[in-house]
Amino acid sequence: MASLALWIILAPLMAALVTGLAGSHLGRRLTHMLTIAGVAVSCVLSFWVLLRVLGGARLDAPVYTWMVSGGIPFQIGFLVDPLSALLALVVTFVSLAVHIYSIGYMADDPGDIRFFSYISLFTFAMLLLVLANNFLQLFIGWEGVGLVSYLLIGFWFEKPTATAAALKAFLVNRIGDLGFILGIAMVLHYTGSLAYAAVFARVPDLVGTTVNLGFGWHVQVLTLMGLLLFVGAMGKSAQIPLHVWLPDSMEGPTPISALIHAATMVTAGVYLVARLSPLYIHAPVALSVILVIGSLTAFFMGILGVVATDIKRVIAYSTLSQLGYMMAGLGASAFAAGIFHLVTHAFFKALLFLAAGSVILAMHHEQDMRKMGGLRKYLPVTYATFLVGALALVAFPGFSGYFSKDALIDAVGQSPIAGAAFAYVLLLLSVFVTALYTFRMLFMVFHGTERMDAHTREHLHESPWVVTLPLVMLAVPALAVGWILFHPLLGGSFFASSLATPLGVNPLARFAHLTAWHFFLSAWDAPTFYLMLAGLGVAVYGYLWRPEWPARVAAGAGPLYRMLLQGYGFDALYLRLGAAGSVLLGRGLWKWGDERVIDGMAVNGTASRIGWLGSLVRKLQTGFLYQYAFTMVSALVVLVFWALVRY
Amino acid sequence: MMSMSAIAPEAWVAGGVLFVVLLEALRPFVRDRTLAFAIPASTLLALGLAAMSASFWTAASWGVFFDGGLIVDPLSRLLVVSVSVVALLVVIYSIGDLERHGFGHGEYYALLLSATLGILAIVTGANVLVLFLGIELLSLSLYALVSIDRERVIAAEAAMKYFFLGAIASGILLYGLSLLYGLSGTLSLAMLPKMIAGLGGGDRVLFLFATAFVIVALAFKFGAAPFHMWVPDVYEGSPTPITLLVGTIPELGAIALIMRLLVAGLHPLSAQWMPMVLGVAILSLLVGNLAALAQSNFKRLLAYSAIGHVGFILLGIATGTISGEIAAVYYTIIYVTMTLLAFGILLVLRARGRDVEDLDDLAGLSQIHPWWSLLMLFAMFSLAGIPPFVGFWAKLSILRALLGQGEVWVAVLAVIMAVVGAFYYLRVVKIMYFDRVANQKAMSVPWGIPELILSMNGLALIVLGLVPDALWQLCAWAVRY
Repeated sequence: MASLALWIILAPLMAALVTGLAGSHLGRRLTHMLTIAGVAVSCVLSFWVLLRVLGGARLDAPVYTWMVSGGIPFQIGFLVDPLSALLALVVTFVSLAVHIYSIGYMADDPGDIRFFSYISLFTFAMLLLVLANNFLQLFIGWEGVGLVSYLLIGFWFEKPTATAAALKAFLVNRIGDLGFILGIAMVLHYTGSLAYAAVFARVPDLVGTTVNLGFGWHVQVLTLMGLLLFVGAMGKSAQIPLHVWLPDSMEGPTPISALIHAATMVTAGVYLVARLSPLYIHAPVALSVILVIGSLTAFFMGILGVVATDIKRVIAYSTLSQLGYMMAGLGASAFAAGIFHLVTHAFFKALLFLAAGSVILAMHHEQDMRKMGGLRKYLPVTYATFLVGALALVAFPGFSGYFSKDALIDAVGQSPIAGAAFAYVLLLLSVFVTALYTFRMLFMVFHGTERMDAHTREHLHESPWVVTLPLVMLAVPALAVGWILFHPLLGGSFFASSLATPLGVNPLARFAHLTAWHFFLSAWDAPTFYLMLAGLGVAVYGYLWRPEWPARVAAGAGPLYRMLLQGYGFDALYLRLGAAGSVLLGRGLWKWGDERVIDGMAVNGTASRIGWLGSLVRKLQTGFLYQYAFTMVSALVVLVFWALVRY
Repeated sequence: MMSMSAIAPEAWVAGGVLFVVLLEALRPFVRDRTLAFAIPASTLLALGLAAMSASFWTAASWGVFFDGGLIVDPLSRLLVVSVSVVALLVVIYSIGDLERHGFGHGEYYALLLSATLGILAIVTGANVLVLFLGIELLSLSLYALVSIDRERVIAAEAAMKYFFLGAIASGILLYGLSLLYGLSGTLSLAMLPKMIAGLGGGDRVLFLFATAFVIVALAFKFGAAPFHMWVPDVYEGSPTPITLLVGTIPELGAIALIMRLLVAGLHPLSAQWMPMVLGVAILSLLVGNLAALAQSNFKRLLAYSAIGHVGFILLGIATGTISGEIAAVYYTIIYVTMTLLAFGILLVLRARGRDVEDLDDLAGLSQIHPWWSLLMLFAMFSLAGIPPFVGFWAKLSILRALLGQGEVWVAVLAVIMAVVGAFYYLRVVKIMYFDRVANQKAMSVPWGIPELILSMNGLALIVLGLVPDALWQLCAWAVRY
């Protein structure tokens, strides 16, 4: 089992290293084959591991000890349980689809060898994160995926906007990681271990322990720990107010948006909170914060999707909104529902992104939906798969998103945690918003009048099979995975050994005896269904029947509309306060602190003084033998006298 | 029989020396040069193979042999294996260069093997006289090796200086050892501590007197300041293959000498010799790192860097603790690995028509030889102690030992000197990667076994850096016994 897990992560790593170091010698075809083989091996092994986990196999063992410092072993080790096995399969499967897709999407790009090496490296880092059995390895994987994300957002580094977006993603994640690493330090300090199992065993003893933050302000240790770790999750999973990097990350190639910024990396924060559920059930305040932030993200980021005109940005805002859903589910301590939505979302959102990529490819890298329309007859496969993804996203009954999202909303409604009622209302409203922006996108791209120029229209044709095959590969789970996983994940005992059950009311209790079929039939009973239909209705009215109507609404909304276009002004605020303040502080430190004190006195001063010492010492080396001998003998005399005097 | 198997490594090497000399006498009849290489290689390989056998590492084969003349224990086992591996690598890296420059005769191999034999004697010696014989055998071989290119004035000068100063050091050592014998009446390193412990006031002063002499001689052999004067001249003056040899194998002998004579033999006086070693260590740190800043010759720079590293190693000894001694042995083995790499690359570059003498000769290297530049970068980063390279762990282990003894200020000084050191190592990297030179011609030479092994040597710095614990445990096992 341990060697299986090892090979799952090593296969993509080896592919990444070989193609990264020697890719230019291997050529394109061999690079494609190697990286795809690496991920395919990983995927097959993940499936095999999941089967064995279903058979009851578990693994929690160190592979090797990196070092022992202060009595604490820092280890690389694996935890294979239902949660990590399921996610490993999702990651490798989506990654495999994206690898295949990228052959077609990146065909004309001169840097595609580098690209394949990066995405294999990403797969490795993500698996390292998911399969970790301790915080250190989690952190290594966490930073690894962050690094590759940075490299891939800035993949087209000749574009200034791409490098700026990469830098932004990196900096914003720094803020999250600061909280994260403080959280890890707190875990280490209070539990004396970094291994999950040991930490979780110590958690119940910490209930009631407080930490003094100064000025007599005492906070529960577990609450603070949970919040700090959640700050890390906020950065990676782009929760308000650390969400600003995700829309800009769309500067990267579309397969990356599908793999990293929709299906896998951005859900690492969700995974983190779920993985630490034994800790969070003892920190209700932290859960409330997660719940509220998640629902705010779900609602307010969804609204931005309604005004965006770039097809990738719409999906990006939708991703933000769905991540908000997942976090809200976790905050309601319906951990299984959050992970369930993570899994279904990984499939249908990767599908939507890849389908959007296929559209972009057909449109010669045009991403503005106002210049599309009526594409369904040119791109039939893309249209069909996109439709599946869209229906899953809006939670149309029977599609995978329905099972996960409606169950999640229902659980939030059942939750006794403070803020749950507020979150429930926001999440319900978001259902309407989700349906609105999703169908708006669908209609603007695939229906209505053809608004592209004549030249583009002439060249419109369906994408090659390497592009459409992954779409079909992902459309199948987007349809089916909800049916398959609904009962085991929410009702059954699949996650019993991975996720903690809340101490009080279990918001998922109602699903214990509910089959997928019954849940499907009860779609009529839930308000979500009607809210979704309302969103569909508005979209049909505004984007099919009366296309002039949205512009009138926008003009009528005036300042509100402009605020939405600017994403509530978060970017401007950060630029004014954060960036300008930092620049001011930086300038001060630079002019006075750095140039005068550090450069002038410390660095150059020290350097010149040390350089002077060096030349002095050099002069001692005269090259004359008698001086050498003299030095030796006099040193001997000094040493002897010293010995005698000291005695 | 038992005793013979205990000296099997030494016997192998001694036989190898004789065989090479014999073969050299038959030179007119033996034209095949590969044979000259085959003998030392097979001798050293045989040692390596012996190390593979289980009994080599188990207590069954340990003990004291030849009336207390030789000791076989984990430390000697570890160092015997290290010495033979390093000697084999030295031969592999140098062979091509020596052939090209006409030094690939039997005498090189004979001297190399006799130097190895000298170190093996030091490593397994349990008797003061055996140690001294080992030192002399090593030193005499080195003097001759340094002057192997006797036509070059600079080489001859270096050899002369080395020989004269070495003779003085040997005299000092012999004087110290004779004092020890006169006071204790024993030559056995096992008996020495007991005799010292049993002595009172006046005689202890004389013992200290003798200890000072011993320390001076050890510091000379190790190349520690202020007895380091020969190091830069020898490094610069010798042909690069010889510098490679002088810079690596004797370091293992020096640490063995310190462990045997000072740490074990003069253990009861440790409270007195610790400050002396500390003084030498700090001086070496300062001299080595500061003088390296001002060097423009690459081999001289590495010479001063060697002095700085010796300072680090001696700091571990100066703590007088087991963990410090483990760290010193650990550091020495790692240092030798890094030095092998740095000089090995110089030799590979020489084979490709790029003779690196001055730092500027490295300019723009990354354009022409990206792989060798990368490996040189590994060597420099590791020597500078930058993680994840193994050199970082070596420095860290010494610093931990110092902090464990509460020597905060010494540790701070060591860190500062490591930072100073990082400057000149990084300057090498900067010259390789950022300085440009016009009309560079690349000479394409196909890879052979030396290139392959050298690359593995370079990658080992990362691998050992990622898995630092295994080697540490090995050293701990060797020292603790």
